Amino acid sequence: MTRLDNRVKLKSLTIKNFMPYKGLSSIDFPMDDSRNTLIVFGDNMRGKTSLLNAIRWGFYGYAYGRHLRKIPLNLLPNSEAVKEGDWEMVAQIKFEAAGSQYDLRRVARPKKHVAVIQKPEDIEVELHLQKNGAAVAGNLIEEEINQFSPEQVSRFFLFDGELLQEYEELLIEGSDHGKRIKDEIEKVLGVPTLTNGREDIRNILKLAQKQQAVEASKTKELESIAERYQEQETKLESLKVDLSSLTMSLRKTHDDRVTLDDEIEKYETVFVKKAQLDSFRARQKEIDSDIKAKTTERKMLVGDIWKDFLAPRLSIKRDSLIGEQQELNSLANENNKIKLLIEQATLANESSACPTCGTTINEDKLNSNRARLIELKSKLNDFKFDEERSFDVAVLIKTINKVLENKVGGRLVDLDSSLSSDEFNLSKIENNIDNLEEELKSYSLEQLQRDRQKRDSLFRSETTLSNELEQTSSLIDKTEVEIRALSTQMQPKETSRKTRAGQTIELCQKIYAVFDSSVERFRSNLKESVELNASLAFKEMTTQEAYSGLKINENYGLTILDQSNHEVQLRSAGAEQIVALSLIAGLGQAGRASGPVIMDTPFGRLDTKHRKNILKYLPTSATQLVMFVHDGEIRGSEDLDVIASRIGAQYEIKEVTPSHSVIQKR
Amino acid sequence: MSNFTKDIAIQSLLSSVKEVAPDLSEDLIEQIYAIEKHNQFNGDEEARFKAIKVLIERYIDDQIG
Repeated sequence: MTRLDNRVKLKSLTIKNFMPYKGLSSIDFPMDDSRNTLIVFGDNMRGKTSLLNAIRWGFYGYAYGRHLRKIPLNLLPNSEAVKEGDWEMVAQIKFEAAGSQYDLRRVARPKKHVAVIQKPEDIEVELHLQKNGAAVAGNLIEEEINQFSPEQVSRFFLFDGELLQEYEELLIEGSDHGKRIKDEIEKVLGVPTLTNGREDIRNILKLAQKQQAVEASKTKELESIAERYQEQETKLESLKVDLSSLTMSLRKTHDDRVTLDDEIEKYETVFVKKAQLDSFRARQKEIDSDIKAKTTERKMLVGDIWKDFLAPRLSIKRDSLIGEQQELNSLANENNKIKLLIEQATLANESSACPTCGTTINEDKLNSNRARLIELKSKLNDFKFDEERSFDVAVLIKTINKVLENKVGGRLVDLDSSLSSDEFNLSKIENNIDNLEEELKSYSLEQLQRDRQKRDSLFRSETTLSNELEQTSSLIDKTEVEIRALSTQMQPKETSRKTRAGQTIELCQKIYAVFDSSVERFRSNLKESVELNASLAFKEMTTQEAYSGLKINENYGLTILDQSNHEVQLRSAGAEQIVALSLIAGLGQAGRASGPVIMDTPFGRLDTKHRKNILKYLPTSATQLVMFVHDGEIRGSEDLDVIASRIGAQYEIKEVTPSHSVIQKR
Repeated sequence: MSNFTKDIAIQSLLSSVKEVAPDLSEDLIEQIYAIEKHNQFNGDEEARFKAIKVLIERYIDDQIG
């Protein structure tokens, strides 16, 4: 069968009461190969992801919520329809695959005798499939779908931004999540056909070895080897029980931890609000204390308000005192001058020489000086300078200044204004505190604290369990080596003497060796193929000509190579998205029959040029390209010009009410 | 799984036969692979185990003649 024979194409999707789509809604997919692109426009929260989920639920019976968690079935039916008593939910997908026409219809409705639906178990789901007009038996439907579109492959044709981002995990060595994605990728690529084959042959080999041991125990010379073989077999069984129990514990611990992580993440906003509340409470305390201090100061100021009434009179008094002080100061200066002159004249008379230059003074001048001295002394006697008064005046001026400086009225006005502003702020803060307390009432922060401690403890348990698991696996390997050696010892050397069990062992050992050796060979060939296809897709989509391609790692993670084939360590969010799309293209080409690609909000992190490149490339890599986008991602003719000739249909999601959307042709 | 990867899987198995067990029947390996491929996505481990066991028993019967 050629790849073309296996082609899958969607014809139509009809849904009833599915998530925001109340009543019936439908989309016809373009069937013309040259116009194979369908675009559905819709604002955020209108139901783009719900359309992706409708296809997922129709094919596989589940829908994803945030963090790729399955949404409980009872939450899928449209809430308005449910209020009106219409619980029936339908997803019908018509498609063609490998030349046959299919009509798939999944219906959910309440179980009989269930009055109010509260849990998924209250709903029954029916699945019908018609192939070329004939009904396919219920137990064969899943197998029929798996032939052309297995659930495990869906991540490569039904995806959204969140699923794309997951591929970045593949670049983190040792990441648990990366390992799980790698396992899923290998499922799609068919690696389990070889690993399961290896496992099945190993089990048949073991059965034959057991049979051989039973036969050997009946032979005297092999009795002791058979006994040791039985002991090792018992040990192996016990180790496997331990391994299985450890694996289950680890899985449960991991799931519990992830659930708690999600819960704690939900609490992140609560924590932000709690921090706000604490900050508001601290500010409230601060303002309260300010108000108290200001009120006390105000009381004191009110006690001193009389000073303000005296201020005008005190100013006049101060001015008059300043005048008096100036007069007194000038008198004091004059007084000091006379005293100095008397001192000099007295000295000249006593020494008959000039006190400044020492020259001898003649008798005439001495007489004149004596007369001057008498005159000065008389003037000093007549001079009235009140030194005590001068000191009092200075003290009075200082006191009045002090009273006038501290104007109580001005400070009181400032204080009242500040108090009023404090009270306004306090009331605002108290309102915020009330609102936050109300919002936080339903959350137990103590519970959150306990959850965090529990999460940390689960994380530690996970590490311990992983170590124990590793040790047990290693013991199992050693025991198996021992069992193989004992089994060989029990086998006769000559083929003619070999029992049937011995022949089965010999054959299975060879088949096991073939499968074991081919697993890594297959992986290596696949990686080469994925790397090549992803690189080709990458070069079509990237805008950076300096990139030469992509390099695949052990986990199927892809790294960009520059012109010199060196790995580019840092890449932008947009480049991550291009790499993820390239990986999907590479895996899609290696891992499934040619089919449609359905993407929800795929251009979130991309610039115009990358968008154009992707829009140009994707319609050529799939039978149909279906995109659910918002106006911010694709800007009308500016972006769509590139694929105008490939667009087969355009739809728009319109809101009727927040819980009721409709799909209209554009 | 596409025919493309099926080809790679078969090629890998047959190369391994040549390398590690050249006297082993390639036809037997292809038949085991066909059972595994058919049951890859249905999760029925018992069905594929039983089918391969029967295949091996028949092969040994044929060898014994």
